[in-house]
Amino acid sequence: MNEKTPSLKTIRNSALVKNPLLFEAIGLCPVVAIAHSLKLAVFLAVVTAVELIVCEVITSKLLKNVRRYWRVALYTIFGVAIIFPIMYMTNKLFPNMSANFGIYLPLMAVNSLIALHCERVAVKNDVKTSFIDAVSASLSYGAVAIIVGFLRELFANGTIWGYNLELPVKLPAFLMPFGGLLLMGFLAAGLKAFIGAKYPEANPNKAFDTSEIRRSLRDNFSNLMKDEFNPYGDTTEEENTPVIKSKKVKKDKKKKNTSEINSEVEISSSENASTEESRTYLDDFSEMLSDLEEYKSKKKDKTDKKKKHRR
Amino acid sequence: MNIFLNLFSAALYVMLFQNLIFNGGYGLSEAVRMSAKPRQLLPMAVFITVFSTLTSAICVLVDFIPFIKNLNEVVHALIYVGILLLIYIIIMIAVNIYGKVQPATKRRIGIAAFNTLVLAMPLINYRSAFTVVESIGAGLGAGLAYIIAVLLINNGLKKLDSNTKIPKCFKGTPAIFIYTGILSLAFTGISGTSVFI
Repeated sequence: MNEKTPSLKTIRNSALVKNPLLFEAIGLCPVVAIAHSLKLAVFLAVVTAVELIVCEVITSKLLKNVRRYWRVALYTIFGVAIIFPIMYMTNKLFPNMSANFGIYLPLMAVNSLIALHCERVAVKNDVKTSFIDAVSASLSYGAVAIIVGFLRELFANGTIWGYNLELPVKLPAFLMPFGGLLLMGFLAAGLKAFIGAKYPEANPNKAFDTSEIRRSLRDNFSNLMKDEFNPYGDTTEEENTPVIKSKKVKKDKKKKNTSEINSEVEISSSENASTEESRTYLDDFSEMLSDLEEYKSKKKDKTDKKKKHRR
Repeated sequence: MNIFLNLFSAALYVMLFQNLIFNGGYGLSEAVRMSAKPRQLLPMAVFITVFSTLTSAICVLVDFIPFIKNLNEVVHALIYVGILLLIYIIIMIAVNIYGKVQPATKRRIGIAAFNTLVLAMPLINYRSAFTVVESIGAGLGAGLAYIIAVLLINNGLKKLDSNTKIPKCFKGTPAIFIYTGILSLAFTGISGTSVFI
């Protein structure tokens, strides 16, 4: 297989099939609220890209062993560390732009895009894969934000980057959040049609799981709390599982132990289980694997001791 | 009576007349994504209400300190994020000490704490110069606004899902965005903003 294939697949997944804005509905707030002019949209795209790349690289490098509920807080701290100097500089250098952003710029410190990509990709992959994912996701996010900003500025003010085109009709309503949502709806449909024509095997609908929409919300509160909740999981963890899987296969080839073969069967059966099942256990999957490795090493020690004893 | 009226009017303002989710876009991602999982609505709404009310009220109280009151908006925003982080850390420590909490609940708390809807509350309070009672009302209103948004989007999702006349490329998120956009337009109308003039 071509060496470039996994990277290309990651880029295609992050940028097109699982476009964070159009198909996963992530990070909507800044785009819907701020991206109503090309300048602001470009600024938003750049800030988001810097934040996402830095957070994913740091997470991949340093935070893999930190518990998830502390990691979520750390993403906010990183976000603050990146956003607030930018906010301070914008306030000093471009007061008009800062006024346009209003309270939305500090809110980017808690952008859901960061937490989702860090949890889904950076925690489970190496720095290179995380970096590629961050770049492709931020590019796709930024591209959509810029297109939305461009169209909203054109329709609402009849300008592009502040240059007046003197259009006869202006629709200032596009400056409001609903203008952004309507445009994003049509952009999503366009991108979906393009993906359908170019990559018929890809299914963008998987990025937004609607299998549970008809489930009743009327239940005992304790029962509702017991329901599985996996906000960072998705239906296809294509870019995550192979890394773990490949390591396991390599190790298994070296060892050739019966107990290990049994464990391999267990792992592969869990991977081949239905998507719903894998989604349920995906969170604890890496923990299970580490437990399994511990168990294997103990087992190996025991068998070695037995062999020595027999000799 | 006056306190109750202030609290109620602030909650009503944030929930209905300036619905934070549809009119401001705050917490829109969480609302859209959770509308596809209606069983998560109540637990998430409870946690979001707890965080928005606590953050909202504590930030207003902190603003009474003269030294902080005179700082500029950037530093205020930084302090608000710090307070939100502190509340989250205290709650997570309490949850860990209690022990009998499922991992799913911890995940819910993480999502509920760090979203734009919760962090927007102290910033809106600061700009609107809300009192402590009004900020508590606004915090509660944010949770109610979230419930209204999720219920409305979920209802639309069910109808969109069963509609066979929607073109294939508009199925899924495109239709959801357009539907949410129309809801947002409706709430803009309720807020009294002139749209086409």
